[in-house]
This record gives sequence, structure tokens and C-alpha cells, in this order.
Amino acid sequence: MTREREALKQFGDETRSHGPDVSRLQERLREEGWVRDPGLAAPTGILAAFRRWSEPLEDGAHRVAARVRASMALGRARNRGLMLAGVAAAVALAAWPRTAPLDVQLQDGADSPAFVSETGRLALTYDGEGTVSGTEQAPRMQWRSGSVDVEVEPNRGTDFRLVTPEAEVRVLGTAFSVDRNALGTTTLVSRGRVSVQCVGGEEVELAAGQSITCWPTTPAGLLGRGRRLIAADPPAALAALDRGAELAEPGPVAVELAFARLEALVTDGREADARAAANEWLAVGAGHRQPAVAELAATLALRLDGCAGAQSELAALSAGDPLLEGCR
Amino acid sequence: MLPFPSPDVVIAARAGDGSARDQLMASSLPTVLAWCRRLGGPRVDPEDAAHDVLIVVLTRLPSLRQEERFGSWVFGITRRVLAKHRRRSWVKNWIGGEMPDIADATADPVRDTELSELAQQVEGILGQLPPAQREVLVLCDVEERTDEAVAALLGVPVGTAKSRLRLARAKFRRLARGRALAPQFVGLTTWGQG
Repeated sequence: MTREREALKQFGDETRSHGPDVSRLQERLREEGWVRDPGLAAPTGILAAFRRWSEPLEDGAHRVAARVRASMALGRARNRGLMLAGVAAAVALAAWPRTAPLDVQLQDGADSPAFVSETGRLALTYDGEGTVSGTEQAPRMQWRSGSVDVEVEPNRGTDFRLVTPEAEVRVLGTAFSVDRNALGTTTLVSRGRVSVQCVGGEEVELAAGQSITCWPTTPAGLLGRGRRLIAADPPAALAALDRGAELAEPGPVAVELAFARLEALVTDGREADARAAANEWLAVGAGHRQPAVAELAATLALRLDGCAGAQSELAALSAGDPLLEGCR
Repeated sequence: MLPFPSPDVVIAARAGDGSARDQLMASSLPTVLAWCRRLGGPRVDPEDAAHDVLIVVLTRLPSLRQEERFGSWVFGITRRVLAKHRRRSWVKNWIGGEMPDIADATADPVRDTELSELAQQVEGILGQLPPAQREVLVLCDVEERTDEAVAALLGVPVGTAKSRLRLARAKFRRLARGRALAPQFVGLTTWGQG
């Protein structure tokens, strides 16, 4: 006999002796668990609301997975003896985790490209070079090159700052990545909010999913950014090269900036502008790029106006130049 | 019900297969994270706890002898890690340290506003249940596992699991009535519904 049947039999006995107090017995059956309670068992009840609320979010799982990988990588490094000094220092400083000093060199091509601070406030996965200093409470990171994913544990008041030659990134509990390459320093926020101040610029606040690139600040850096962008985005390359030219002192870097600018104009389809710029530059001397600029000016002139219209540019070429011969 | 990796994956991961370990972590993580959130209570950061559980799982995997009992093994680890985190949270409370919030409590505003109030009350009630009853109620009624599956996860006979569930439901009901949940609760459990 099932439990329900036993209960119903008991119900029959009770109703015979005390009269049919159905509501009382119904309540008792539910209380004692004889009848499956739809509010508890069915997913439409309050436990279902709790279930939906407590369902793990995908980005939460991703965050945990990233932390686990970083921790495991750190563990492997520890097992190989590479982190012995760090562990010893961490044990010694365990009593003062908030003020425990950080002093870590992050090397490109490391066996275990991950770092987790002793208290877990800061987790880094990197492919590049930099240093971590400051304290557990206020980590300071200098990032020289490459990319780094940063996760700062939220709600612990950690004042983390990352500095590159182009930008300072400040954060209070979030996750973001920083990539420093020829284009500058790009900060991409994956969770929380981040404040970024490019050198010489306003401080801007980024939300999750937003990014910003702080341009290089030196003429050489701007030359690198310009060269990188010539093929993909000539107008952006020109903007970087023009800014570099404004900052550059006369010399090789200034010459390369001007030459890259000619390349960007040609790539952008502005051949007449490129010809004019080349001729203007030749008039004042194009330094070590003089022959190449003359060649470029003549080529553009021939393409735009033919032999008759390109006489002045052709005259600047040395005797025997194939372009010159072609117009004889 | 959230999935666990197949015994084949567990065997390969135990043997050191990197992709199998990734697969094992990917398939276990949602379940572990859900357990940490549902069983940890409001003072435990579920992501912290899930991280610690996965670390223990991955480092102690070679010691697992019965791959078909992987789920039960992980549940046992989760139970121990959560107990440790709860103890830590009380210590922090006594010494006045910072208390973690639930990591994703405000990650989705819509979900938060619609469900948070009711769900947090449920979480409070679950926190008042004895651990064994809380576990069985979450596994059976929140995660909708069968009595047999829950018994296997807990490592107890099916009858014991059912008995605990019966007591847990009764106590949950009493506690819910003692809170402002009574109208919703009674409305959802009227005799004959469902």
C-alpha cells in the first residue's frame, strides 16, 4: 500500500470518528509530506523564482574559468620552483595582506604567463612585459608592451592603476584588458567601469564593452602608428603622421614621417596631393629620402599628366633613370 | 538539471589530457557555480567559492577512483569549500573586515528587479534550514533532480533522501509562513493546484 493510501485510510478512520474535517486533514497531509506540494515541487513556485535568480550567468562562469586557469598556471609555476621566492615572501607577509608589497617582473614568453596576488585581489594573464609594484591594497603596474588581461576583485576597495607611456588606467573592482602596440595603448573593459586618461587628454570613463586607444605621444611612436595604419585606414594614418610631424625636431624621424605621409596620400587615392607634397618637400630638400621622393613625384606626374606634363619632375631624376628614358 | 561530464571525459582528464580537463571544467563549472550560489548563503561569494572548488577538483582529480561517482565527489568538495567560506565570512564579520557581495547580484538589472526580492527571501529561509535539509531541498526542488539522483549525489540511501526532503519541505513551509512570503506561498500551494 502506498503512503498516500495509508494516509487516506487514516483520513477515513478519522472522518468516521470525528466527522469530515477535510481542510484540517489536507493541511496535515501536506505538512507531513504525504502529498507532493505543487508550490515546492513545481518550477512555477517560489523555489522556481529562486532557481531563476540563482542560475549562473555566462560571464560569471567565464570569469571563474579564467581565474581557475590563472591559478592553475601559477600552481604549475610554483611546482617547478619558479615561484619559491614569491611563496616564501607571501607566507611571511600573510599577516599584512593589505599592505604586503608587490614586486613582480612580468616577462614576455614566460612559461606561466599569469599572476595572481597572494590575497587574490589582482589576477593577470599577460603576453608582454611589465612590472607590478605597490601593495595588495594599491597595486601599481607599469606596462611596457604586449597585451594583459586584468581582473581586480570587486568590492574590496583595491585601488589599482596601470600606467603606460600613453595612458593611465584606474579601476576599483573590474576586469579589463590593455594592449600596448604600435597603435598606442588600447583599453577594453569587460566588466565594471574604468577611468582612462590619455597623456595630455581628458579623463574618460568606460563601461563594459567600451574601449579607447591612447595614441603614442612621441614622434617615433606616432610614426609607428601611422605606418601601421597606412594600408587599413589611410586618413587615420595621416592624422597620426601629421601630429608626429608637428612634434618632430628636424632629423631622420621627421623625414620618415614626411615620407610615410606621401605613402598614406597615395594609398588614400590622393595622388595629386601626394605629387604636390612631394614637390614642395623636394624644394626644401628631402634629406636621405631625396632620391625616393623624386622618383615618387615623377611617377605620379607621369600617371597624372603624361610625359609632357611631367617635365619638371623628370628633370630632377638622375640620368639613365628608366622613367626618364621612357619619355624620350 | 545541469550536466556533468561523461565518465570517459573524467578518465581522460585524470590521465592528464589537457582538452579533457578543459571540457571537464567547462561542463562542471555551471553546476558548481549554481551550487555555490544556492547553498552558500548571502555571505559567501559564489565565484570565489566555485573557483576554490574547481582548483581542488583539478588538483585532486588523480585521486578519484570511481569516475562514475564524479558528481558526488564534486558535491562533497563543494560542501566542504562552502563550509570553509562560511566560516571565513563569520570571522570577517567578527573582526570587521569587508564583506563580499554576491558577484552577480546586480549584473542583470531586469533579472535583479524581478526576482531579487522574492529569491533573497527564499535564500534567507534556506539559510535557516539545517545543512542536510537545505542540500536536499535545493537538489530536488530547485534543481529538479530525482530522488535517486539526489541520493547518489549525497551518498545516502534513497529513503534517507526522501525523509530529509519531507522534513525540509515542512520546515521550509513553516519558515515561509513566518515571513511576508505567506500570501504568495499559500496562493501557490492551494490544495489541488498543479
